[in-house]
Amino acid sequence: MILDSILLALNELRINKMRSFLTMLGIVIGIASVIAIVTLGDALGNTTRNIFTGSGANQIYFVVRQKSMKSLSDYDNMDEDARTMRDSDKVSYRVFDELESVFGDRLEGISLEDTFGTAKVDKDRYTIYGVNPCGYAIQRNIKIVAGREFTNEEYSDGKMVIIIPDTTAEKLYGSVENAVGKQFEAEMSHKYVNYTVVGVYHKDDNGAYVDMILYEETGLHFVPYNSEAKKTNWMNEYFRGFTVVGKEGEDIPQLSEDILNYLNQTHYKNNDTYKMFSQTMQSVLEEAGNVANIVKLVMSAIAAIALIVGGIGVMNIMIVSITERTREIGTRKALGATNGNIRTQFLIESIVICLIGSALGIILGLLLGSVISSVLGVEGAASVKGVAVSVLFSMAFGIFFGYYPASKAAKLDPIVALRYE
Amino acid sequence: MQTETVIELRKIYKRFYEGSENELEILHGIDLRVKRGEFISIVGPSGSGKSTLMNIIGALDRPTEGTYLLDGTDICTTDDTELSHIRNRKIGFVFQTYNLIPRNSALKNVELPMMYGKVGRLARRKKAKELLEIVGMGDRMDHNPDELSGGQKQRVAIARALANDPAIILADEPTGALDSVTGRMIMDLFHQLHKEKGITIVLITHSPELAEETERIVTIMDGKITSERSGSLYDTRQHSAGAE
Repeated sequence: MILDSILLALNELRINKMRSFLTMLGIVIGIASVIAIVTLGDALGNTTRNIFTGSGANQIYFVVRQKSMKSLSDYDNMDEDARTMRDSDKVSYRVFDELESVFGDRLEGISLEDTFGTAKVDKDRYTIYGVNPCGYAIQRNIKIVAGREFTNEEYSDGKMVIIIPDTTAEKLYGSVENAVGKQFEAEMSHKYVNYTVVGVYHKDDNGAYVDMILYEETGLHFVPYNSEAKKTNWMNEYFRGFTVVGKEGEDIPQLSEDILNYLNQTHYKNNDTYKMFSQTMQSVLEEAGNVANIVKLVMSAIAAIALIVGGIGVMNIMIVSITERTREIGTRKALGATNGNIRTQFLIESIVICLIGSALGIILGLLLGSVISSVLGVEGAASVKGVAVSVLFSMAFGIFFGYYPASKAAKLDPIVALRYE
Repeated sequence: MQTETVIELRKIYKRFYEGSENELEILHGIDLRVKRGEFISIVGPSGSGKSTLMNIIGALDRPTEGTYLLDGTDICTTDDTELSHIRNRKIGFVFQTYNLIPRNSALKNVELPMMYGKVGRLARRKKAKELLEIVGMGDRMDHNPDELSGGQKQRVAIARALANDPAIILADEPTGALDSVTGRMIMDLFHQLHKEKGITIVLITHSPELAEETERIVTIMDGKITSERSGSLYDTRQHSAGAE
């Protein structure tokens, strides 16, 4: 009986191909959206977690901001009339040494990294980026493919050496191997600079999503921090911000809190306008995660609406179908179909529409999810949970939106139905 | 020869809109008995209550008052589901408009009552084929209704009516939509089934000629049976049934 009803339903769908397809389309789109969003959401979550458990997790960013602000991005409470920041409001190497001695056993190091300028070679421009050892260590996804990293001596003496990306090496020297030992001659801030290439690196693609939440610059040309400080007029002795890298296993929020309290109770205790703020990578990632969750929620709501609209479409077409087939229903009843038989028949038809629609939707959703995931550069794995939930949902939709029309059909008076024109 | 009563209607009243000021009494106390193997016709002009009576005989509707015993079962006290089962087992409908299920082959159509009767797949297929052979549709079993002529459709419908070996065949103007030649063939089929298989047939018609071919002619007028007399078939069958 059930099998007969399923075959009958498939037969009905086959005969009204166009109508069946359009009816299913709503369900297909709804389910596809749900699957795509669940897949994408999972992928974003995984990627965020990976960054979090990776190198970025133990970084704390410190920055000087106006006292009136409640957090480092609370620009609403910024006083436009406050005095501008002077060198005495910033931190110097002296402060870094102090932090190293006070918190030394809890720190991996203090990272210095800054864009020094744009070097011009012929018509191309290259970003020169100063790093100290710690600053170089926290660069993500960098792999030396030729030559070597900087030595401690090169860092401390500020030697004129440079590590360039493989793309620059190929462009300027023909190949990656060829670049090592060559001179990198460029014009920067109207001055002539000349670095020796000691290494070439390759940076793995982060993907759009990671770039979005980490604001990483690409195509950087690394030089020892001191080299630039020595050679240009612009002596960056004072810093508005710096990054502290905590030791592995350290309680990062606590470390952040401790360093912040220390600085604000010593160097900034008597400062009338400015104080130090901090932000852990963890909180940045959590914020990004929250944003991702909100986006996911909004998208899910839209998908849910699409599903409901699709379901109403199914209900509508079922009502039309039942009206069209009133005589058939009357005949079936005359031949001995019970109300239950009729209800089952139309319920199954509705469920079959929803199930086929959801099967197509799942395929479409998985495709969509993986395409978007690869565009964003996140690992988009098909979510078994999402697929299972969708199938259950579409079954429920089939029953929910099919029940009313099916009951209507079941309750038809056979005498009236038989005479229906 | 069987003399058992298949249909027994006692003082059947049917009223619509009962209790309201539009109350309408269509049947005013119908008494009718049909014996097993009988071929009777019910005739009457439109508006006579013929259709209402047919609905009651066909267990599509219950009388407001009175008793209806169909093959020994009182249908007045049954619920909708039980009524469906009674229609399924006891009654084979043949409609003027054939009422085959569209998009289903002749075979599927004949299988349908057996499907509702929970007959196994193979058994019902076999039976359906046999029945289609009997009505002369053995070579068109896989055709859908829209590929069949009117006469062929009615043959399929008759095969379908026979599917569950019903107590009666209730034929409502079965030749009404057919030309005279085809109509004749359908009537011949009824006669053949009646004669060879001893099937009880209740023919509802407004055609006096067709009614004349049956064993007994029941005329209904204004919701009452106004006459009952023997038809031409009566003599050949030497039937003992008739007006009491």
